[in-house]
Amino acid sequence: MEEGVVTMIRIENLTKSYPSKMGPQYIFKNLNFDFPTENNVAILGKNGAGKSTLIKTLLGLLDFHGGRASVLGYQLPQQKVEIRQAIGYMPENDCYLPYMTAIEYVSFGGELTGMPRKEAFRRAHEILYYVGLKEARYRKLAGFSTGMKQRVKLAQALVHGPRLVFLDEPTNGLDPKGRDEMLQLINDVKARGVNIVLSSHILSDVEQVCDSVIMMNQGEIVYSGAINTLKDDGKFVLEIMTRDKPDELLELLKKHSFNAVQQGLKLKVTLDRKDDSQEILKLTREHDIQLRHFMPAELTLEAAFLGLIDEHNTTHA
Amino acid sequence: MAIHEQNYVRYEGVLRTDRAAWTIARASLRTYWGLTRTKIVLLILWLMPLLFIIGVFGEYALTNSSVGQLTDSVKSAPGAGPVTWFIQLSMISLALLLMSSGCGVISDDLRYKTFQLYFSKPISRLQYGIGKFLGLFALGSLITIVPGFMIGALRVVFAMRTDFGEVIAKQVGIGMLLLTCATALFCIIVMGISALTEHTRYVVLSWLGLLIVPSLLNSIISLASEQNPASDLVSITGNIWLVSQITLMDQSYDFPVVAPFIILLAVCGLGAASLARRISRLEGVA
Repeated sequence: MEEGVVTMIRIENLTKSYPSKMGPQYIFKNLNFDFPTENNVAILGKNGAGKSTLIKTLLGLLDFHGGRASVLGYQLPQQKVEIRQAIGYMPENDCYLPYMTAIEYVSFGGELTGMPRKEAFRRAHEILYYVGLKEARYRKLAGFSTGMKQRVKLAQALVHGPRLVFLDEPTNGLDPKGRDEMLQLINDVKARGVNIVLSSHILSDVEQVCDSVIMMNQGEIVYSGAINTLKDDGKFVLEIMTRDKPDELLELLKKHSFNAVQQGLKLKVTLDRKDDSQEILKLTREHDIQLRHFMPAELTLEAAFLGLIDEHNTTHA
Repeated sequence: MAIHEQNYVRYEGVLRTDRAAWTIARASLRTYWGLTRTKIVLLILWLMPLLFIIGVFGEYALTNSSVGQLTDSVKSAPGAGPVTWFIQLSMISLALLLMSSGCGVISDDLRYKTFQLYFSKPISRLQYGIGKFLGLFALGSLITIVPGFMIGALRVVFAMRTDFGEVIAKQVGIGMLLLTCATALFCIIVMGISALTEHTRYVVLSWLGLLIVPSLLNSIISLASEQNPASDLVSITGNIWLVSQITLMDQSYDFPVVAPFIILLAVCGLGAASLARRISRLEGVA
């Protein structure tokens, strides 16, 4: 264990690649971040950004090829056993044997973590009850709905009382009610002193659970820090709707170096200064684009995320 | 489903990581036992050991009968023939049992991505391998070591009442050792094949092919070479037969007697290497 202040996750120049005929292909390269223990962190990114790979690397499931990483003060890869003992992991995939019952699966998870058999069985009952699977805990996993499977996976991550839980897409495939219940459950776990690392691409989920965020794009970190700082970074967001030429306006704005993204029928433009909105109005007039809606919008995490990703993509184009 | 009806309480007890292999073994065995086909196959395959048990009673009855006393059957120790046959038939039973229930030992973990569950827990890859092996070995022993022990113990108990107790005990001891090694060998081979794919049906076919194709080749070579025992070297069951003949009946052949041992060890090594390769690299699996 590291000397001094224990951080939840510390990463220095973490690099992971896989070999290919064209040389090493980087899944992520030179990642750096540091989160203290009181944080609940979300890892955000589009599909294929490297979120799940980062989590699996932090668990010691996958090797990395450069840099340093520590979780709860334990160094990877030397202390991966200690890390796995101190944390819980809820995988994205349905990783269970269908002929096991929920109670067998969760108590098996507890035993694998090192709990005595009887204790693991008792805890499995408690945790399954806690996550809302009462009588269903005696049923085979093969017959479970997506929502029930997600709850079982959460239960096996919590059974041994971890200090930190990695949740990989916990609301995947859930209906709105199921999603709400899952988030409620995660918040309850969080309130009981368990730190959360959430990987998701559903930004509203992230805002409900986490206070810090790591945004990943093309294997690089585009932002790491508090969500509030990100949303309140002095930038101004404008919401625009045109009568008939949204694509034309989007192209025009990009051509004039505006940070604009299309969201459905609306365009969201992130401005460094409020006065820049006048320039946009001028442009629309010059190009004969009729506006239906032109209003300042609150900078949501989604807008900040899309803005940052777009900026990153433009820089790397 | 309502949530939060029971509070989440942190577990503060001791966590031990030294029992993971046993935990995996026990869970694996429980999984195999949970399959209906396992019980059906075991029930059918146990007919063979039952016949052997009846045979042991018959042997004892004969040696104590007036007919036995009049003939030469009690003047010399019984040969090890029945033991070698029992080993051979047990191996066939084991092959069938593994085919019905054991072939998914690793492939099911690949298919259902259970690797993520195992390796997100504080267990080493070696513990996983040993645990899976012990689970499969325990299943296999239900049709090899357990009946072998029962029949062997019965034979020894009966033989102790005669002058051949020591000879029979030695035969049973060697037979049990061979059964244990052969069961372990079969389990490692099946694990090795199972580590190659996530499709259990391919594992079953490969295992079947690995047993049948060399056995057919064995028969063809045997016919062509006027039943030269060296033809047994091409198949796994043939090599096990040779090993049991060499160790139990002191047979000598015109090829080095270590040959079947080396071949079986090499096959075992290949199985272990395949398993090691799979669990040493979790990229794309976990």
